[in-house]
Amino acid sequence: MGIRVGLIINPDAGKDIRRLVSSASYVSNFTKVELGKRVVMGLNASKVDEVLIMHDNYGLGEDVFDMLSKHITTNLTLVETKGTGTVQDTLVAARKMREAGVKAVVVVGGDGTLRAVYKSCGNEVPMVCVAAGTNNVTGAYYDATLAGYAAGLVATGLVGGEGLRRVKSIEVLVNGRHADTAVIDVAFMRTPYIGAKAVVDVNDILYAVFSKGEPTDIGLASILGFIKPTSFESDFGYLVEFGGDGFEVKAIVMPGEFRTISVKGYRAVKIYEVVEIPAGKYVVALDGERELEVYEDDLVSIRLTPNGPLLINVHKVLNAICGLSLRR
Amino acid sequence: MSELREITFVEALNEALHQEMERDPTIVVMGEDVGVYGGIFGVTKGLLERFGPDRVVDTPISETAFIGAGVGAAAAGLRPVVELMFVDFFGVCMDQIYNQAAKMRYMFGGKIKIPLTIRTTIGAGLSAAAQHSQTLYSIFAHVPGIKVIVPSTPYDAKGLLISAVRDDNPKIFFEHKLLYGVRGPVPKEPYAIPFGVADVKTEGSDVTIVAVAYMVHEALKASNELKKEGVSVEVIDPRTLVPFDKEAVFKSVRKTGRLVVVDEDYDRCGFASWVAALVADECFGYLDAPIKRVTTPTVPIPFSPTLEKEILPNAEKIVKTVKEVVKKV
Amino acid sequence: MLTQDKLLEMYYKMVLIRAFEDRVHELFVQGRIPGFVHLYAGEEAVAVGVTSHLRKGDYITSTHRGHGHCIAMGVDIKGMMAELFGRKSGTCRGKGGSMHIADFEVGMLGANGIVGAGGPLAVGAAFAAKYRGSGDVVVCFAGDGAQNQGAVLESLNAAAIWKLPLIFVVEDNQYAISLRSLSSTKLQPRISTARSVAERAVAFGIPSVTVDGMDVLAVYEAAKAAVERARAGEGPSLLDCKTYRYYGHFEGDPMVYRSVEEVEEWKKRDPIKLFRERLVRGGVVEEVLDDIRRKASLEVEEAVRFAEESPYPEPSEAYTDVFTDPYY
Repeated sequence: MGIRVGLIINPDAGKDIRRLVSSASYVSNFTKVELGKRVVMGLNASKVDEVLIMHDNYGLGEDVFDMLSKHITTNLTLVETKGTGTVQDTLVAARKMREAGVKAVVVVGGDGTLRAVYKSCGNEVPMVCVAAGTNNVTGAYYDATLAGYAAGLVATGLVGGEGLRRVKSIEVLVNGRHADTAVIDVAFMRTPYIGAKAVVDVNDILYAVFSKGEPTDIGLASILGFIKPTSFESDFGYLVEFGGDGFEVKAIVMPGEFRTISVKGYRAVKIYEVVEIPAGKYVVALDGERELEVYEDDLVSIRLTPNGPLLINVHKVLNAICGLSLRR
Repeated sequence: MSELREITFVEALNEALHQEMERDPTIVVMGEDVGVYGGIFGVTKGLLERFGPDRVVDTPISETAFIGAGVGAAAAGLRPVVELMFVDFFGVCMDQIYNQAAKMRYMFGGKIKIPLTIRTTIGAGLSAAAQHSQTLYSIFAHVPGIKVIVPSTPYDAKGLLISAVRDDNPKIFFEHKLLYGVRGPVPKEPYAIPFGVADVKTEGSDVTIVAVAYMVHEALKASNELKKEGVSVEVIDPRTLVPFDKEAVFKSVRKTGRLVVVDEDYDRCGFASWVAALVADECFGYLDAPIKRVTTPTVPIPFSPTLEKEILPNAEKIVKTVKEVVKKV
Repeated sequence: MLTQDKLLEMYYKMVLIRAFEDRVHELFVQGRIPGFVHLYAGEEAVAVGVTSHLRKGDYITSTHRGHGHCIAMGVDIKGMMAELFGRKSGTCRGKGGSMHIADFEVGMLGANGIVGAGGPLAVGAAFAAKYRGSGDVVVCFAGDGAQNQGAVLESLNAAAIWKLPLIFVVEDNQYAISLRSLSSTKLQPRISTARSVAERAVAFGIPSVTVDGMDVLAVYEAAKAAVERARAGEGPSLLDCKTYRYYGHFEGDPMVYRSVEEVEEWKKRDPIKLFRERLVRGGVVEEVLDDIRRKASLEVEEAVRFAEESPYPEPSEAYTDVFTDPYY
């Protein structure tokens, strides 16, 4: 069956409410199609046999398919979804790709998209995110061609573990049961509803748990970034409690939006440590998207794990291949 | 005491706009080149300087948007005066005029009003060819819900425009391009001429001529010619087609027994035919001759001056037609 | 802030729209309503989520599918029903019918039988609002099909250059009569080009967001941001709401262009069901919601009775209201 790689282009990435409340760019469908094409050209150059492309209801994957399938040696196949226009499409496509035995997945989207793919694809399949979302902490600001090429080199086995890095994840447990998983951050908010999903009012956050946060990140991770820079590689995360009279931190919570946030305190969270969140009615945001509601009588905790997504480090993969090219 | 000066048709319109905008802050003027340029024929000159860009709005070349914006602004309580540069451009915005402005009051049960004035230009004679020379008032008179105003003198232009701006219905105000430079006496202060009141331009006993806009002047020229030959002509300018002063026409025809309608719009299914039909219905027993129409044949307006002259109604053609009617006594 | 009362009012409006439309469907099938009717069932979250932010002085323009907008704006349903029956007591005294219900008193500038025609009207109303400096805003509702009308594109441009307090709400209910706006499988290609509606707005310089049109709180939150921008003089916005109509394009539509399964799939995310679940989770007791639903049904029945007992207009009424002055 040859070497397969998945490509998921999220039509909804970079289009949410933050276009109205911040200076976030609108990431157009046309831009995403171009990114997708460049990914495929990179995969084609790395001699992948087949690229499985998610069929989305905007027809972005279809456009990539139509424009390239006759011009390259790599086979292109569209993976059907129900075309619901929701995250369900990504979840279904990612599951089908895992079942088809893909050796890597390239995601065109932001942190929210990567999280959805990770939830469905698991943590064994290497993945790389081409930055096309609002926040792109996990995304590679490399050209999509390079991301595709790197994913192909990993998939074909030309580059191994040295080009990959395992990141952490944060599990949310409600009444002892696994409720959901985030890659970067989980925020407990007093916002009254899930609504438009994206976190816009950071002053509504009461508690947040981070697996990563650096000053170069945009989004909630920026808050930790300016308090206590923490990388994906470090074997701990942080719990931050907001409000009160502790100290203030200035962070970039949305593109172009500096906010000064009151922090009561923070502490490190170790791998596998379970942290109980004080009882309350919260909207829970995972990687910046409000997704879950919990109530006063729920027992809510989080657990930091070392078993997050297996991310492809484009820089390392491409450096590794330089030597190989010379030997040939 | 009213000060009567001789000013041009353009100046009369301009003065009406200035005075009405001064009086009523809900009046706004919008259209292509109405601001900085002062209107392609100069009708809105000085308004931007006097009333500022909030009230005198240069629009993109986007008739559907700005004619429709006029309708929407009228619905929301303003009194917009929108300029459609040439009536020939109606094709790109007809829905907003025909289906929206014209019908809203009726469709919505008479509970609302659309005090919108659309000013536009009509008329051939400048070799402006098929898309800048038409006289399409008949099309707008055809649909219910639009008042159709067609002034022929500077005096009427000012008085009718003031009435138009103050009226609570959608109106189209047609300005003939050849009239813009015509001079005439116009009072300085504002005055309103009611719609639906014809003006008898000259009294006569042998034949009635109904004419509007520039054709009023051709009809009067013809009347002078005919007078020399002993034919007494009564020229009636209805000034507004909707509402139309039928009684004035009927009264005149009952007296003269003959009717010639002069109409620069296309002949087929046009204004002249409608007037002829009304008179045939109401005054048949008074008619001493068939009703005749002097109109523009239903062909596109040609460019070449000789061709254009061939098709347009004029004094000479009116004289010829009147003679035919009078001969049949 | 969304109070409990406000939430329940939104729920009431949604169920009132649904009850009204379901009843009109029955009445039409029974031959008791003449003419054409286009039903809004399935799209309630959009009308209610958006209009919840409007106040006296604001205006909306609507479409041929306008019942939902009318009810959301507070047009009396007795008058509406009587209008559908062609009675003298109708909102428009029986002269407009389903496609032309307007009530300027509550800011409803009219349903419209011409697709896309509301755009320029909304521009004008927004121009008037801006001219007055009242802080009032205008919402232009239009479907995905209308987005290919020049009138709408001209309106986007005019709204952008004049920085009008105008919110364009695209109700992408997936079909322009039978033409798909999005493709659910490769065999059913999109024919209408609604895929690019949101990006077209961006090209005009209007910020735009894609919204889950089945989630009233998502619509509510996005509309809140858009209305706030408009009131603050920051200009127009566009909300591209993904939604679905349950009935055909018009009553009597054989719906050969879509499958029963597809309709059922969308109904799983029924906007009233989703909102009800959310309210119950948030502590509203089921009985309260049932009472609201019953109240809505009774009101609709009362409206039907009112309509049927009302007289038809006198024949002489055909000649009135052409102008503000008598007929000529």
